[in-house]
Amino acid sequence: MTPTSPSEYELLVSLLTKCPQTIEVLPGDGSIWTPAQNPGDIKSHSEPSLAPFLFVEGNLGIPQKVLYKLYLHAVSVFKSARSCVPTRPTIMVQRNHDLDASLIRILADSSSILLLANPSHQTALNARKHLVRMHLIDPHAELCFTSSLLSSQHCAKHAELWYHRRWLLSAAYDANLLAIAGVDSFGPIRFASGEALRQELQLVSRACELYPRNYFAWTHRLICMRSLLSDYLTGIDIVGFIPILRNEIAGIKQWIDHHVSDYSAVHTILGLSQAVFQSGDSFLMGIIIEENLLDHAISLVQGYPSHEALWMYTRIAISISDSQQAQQIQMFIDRFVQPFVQLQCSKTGVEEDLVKVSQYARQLLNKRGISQGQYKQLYIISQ
Amino acid sequence: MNTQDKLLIPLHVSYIQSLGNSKDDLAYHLTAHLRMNAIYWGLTAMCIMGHKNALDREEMIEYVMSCWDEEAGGFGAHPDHDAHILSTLSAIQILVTQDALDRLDVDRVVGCDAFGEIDTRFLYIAANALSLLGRLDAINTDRAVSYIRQCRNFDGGYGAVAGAESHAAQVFVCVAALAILDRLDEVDTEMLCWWLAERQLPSGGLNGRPEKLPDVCYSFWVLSALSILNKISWIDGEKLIGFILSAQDPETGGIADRQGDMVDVFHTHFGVAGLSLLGYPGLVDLDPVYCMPASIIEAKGLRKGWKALPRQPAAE
Repeated sequence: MTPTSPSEYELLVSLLTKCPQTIEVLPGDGSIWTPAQNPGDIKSHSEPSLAPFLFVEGNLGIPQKVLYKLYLHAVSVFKSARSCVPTRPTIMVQRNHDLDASLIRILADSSSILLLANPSHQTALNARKHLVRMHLIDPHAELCFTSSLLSSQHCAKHAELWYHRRWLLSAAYDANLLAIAGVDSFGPIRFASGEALRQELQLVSRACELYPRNYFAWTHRLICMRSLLSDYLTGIDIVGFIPILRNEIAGIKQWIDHHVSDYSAVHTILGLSQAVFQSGDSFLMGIIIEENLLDHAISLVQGYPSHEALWMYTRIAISISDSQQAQQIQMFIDRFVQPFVQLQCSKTGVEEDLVKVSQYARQLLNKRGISQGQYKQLYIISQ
Repeated sequence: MNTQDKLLIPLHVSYIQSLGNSKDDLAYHLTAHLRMNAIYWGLTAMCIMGHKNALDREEMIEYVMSCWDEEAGGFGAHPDHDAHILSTLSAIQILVTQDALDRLDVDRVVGCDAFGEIDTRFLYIAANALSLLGRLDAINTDRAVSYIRQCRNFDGGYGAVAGAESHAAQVFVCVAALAILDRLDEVDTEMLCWWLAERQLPSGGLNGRPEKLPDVCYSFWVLSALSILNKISWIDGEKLIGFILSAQDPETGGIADRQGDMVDVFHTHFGVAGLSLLGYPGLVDLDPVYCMPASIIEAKGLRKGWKALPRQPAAE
């Protein structure tokens, strides 16, 4: 293994503190991107002095080989810094004043490289949480750092990073919570402004594009919205919740239109509607009713019947529909669902796709029978 | 493509044996945060294949104890990593399987994350670990059950946190935790088992959520939940066996997430665990609640009322 040049390590650390909008790990050693070697092929506008890294308009490119070399270096740097700095909460708080500033820097820098290459490195995240808690890392800077990581394809799906971000979002804006060491659960997630929330939702959308049906990103989105809803209901409305709710429902509907196999999005729109119905706030409920999820689900499943996600959307939308929609549902079942159900019975040798659709259709009818009451109960009764 | 029609036990045994060999390469350092889990996966797969002694018991126990964090009262995944509830469960499972619990200061073990992360996984881990240690009374059952109830969705499934989408692995942790707490009455069995059965794809493999690709590890997550709820016959067992066997690497040993991908110890363990629940011939019974050899759980008097498929006789 070639020895790590200290300048590459320090250069990458300093680029990470610039809050890149996106980070991409480039295959190989990145030489094809270096302007000096291939001036004609790829026009890179990156500063040559930043080589082997690329940094163009806030977008950071890191050659994979370089990243892994620096990771191995960071493992040993982090290990020795960690053995000098007790990282458990009680001891650290006690020794707050004794900590050597250079040691803190080393811990913060090496953990940033560890996380870039290995976003599930819980021990590195713990070390950073301690530093945030002791006011040695600015929580806003840490939010920027996690947002850079989560805008990177290989990091976007890691639960640990999303947890870390929520920990920051709940603590960073609340001086009281931050002061209490060892809180046993997260406080509410608060956003300083509508703009901060808009950026958060944009981050989630990007993470969901980078990694389709991104479980933890969609969960994060729903938790943010539920947190805002519960604040709104108790009279705290920093972000202007009503237009946000409207945009959110309309936006997710549009997302589903373009990602018809994305059940995570379907779950999110249903989960958000459920939370609104449970609140009992008739104005907010009106917003959801206006958006008519049943109409949306039925029209999509008719357009793309081979998608399980859309059948599940339709099943649940039917189960929570109101009596005024009964006629529409009956018509949908008679004209669209029944022919698929009968298809299975009357023909053999139909193609696999049609067999699948026929199964979905039968399940829709079955489920409708056994569980309409249960769905309704789940939906309406507060937990 | 070669399709395997039987489990290549000797190859998988030598694959798992070879895992600890390279301590200097990049892969070792990229997976150090999962080392304790990996040892548990390797050991359990070995037990189920009937080759527990193929791994050095003393060396394993020494490694586990080197990860003990006296101050935190838990185990890290690696001596250079913080104690965490995930690696603590794996460490306890290894010590129980190796009959070495006497090495552990049970009173020091506490199941609490310092930063307040909540996840149904952690609830299961606490229930599993504490019941193995005979300290289940340390859990507030009503609070635990009430949180699991908040994680139940329209489809009868469970998510990672309240409000999160149903996910087969989270369904397993919730159902197994409820089994340990003797509160399976919480589960909407009919609706949940429908959803679980729908995870089977035409290839025979199971996915963890709608319209995702099939993956060998869900053979355990989905099957274990079905087995605990006594509905394992709701999926096509023969087709699933075929899917798991097709994901073996016939040259290096080990099982991948699906045919043609790189093998790893995680998928090897969950593939073998799935085959055991499906009654595959020649394997040892696995307890789906604890994901450990059934005889060990029975000996501790912890066996619940799960049902796996009957063990098939060995082929001639």
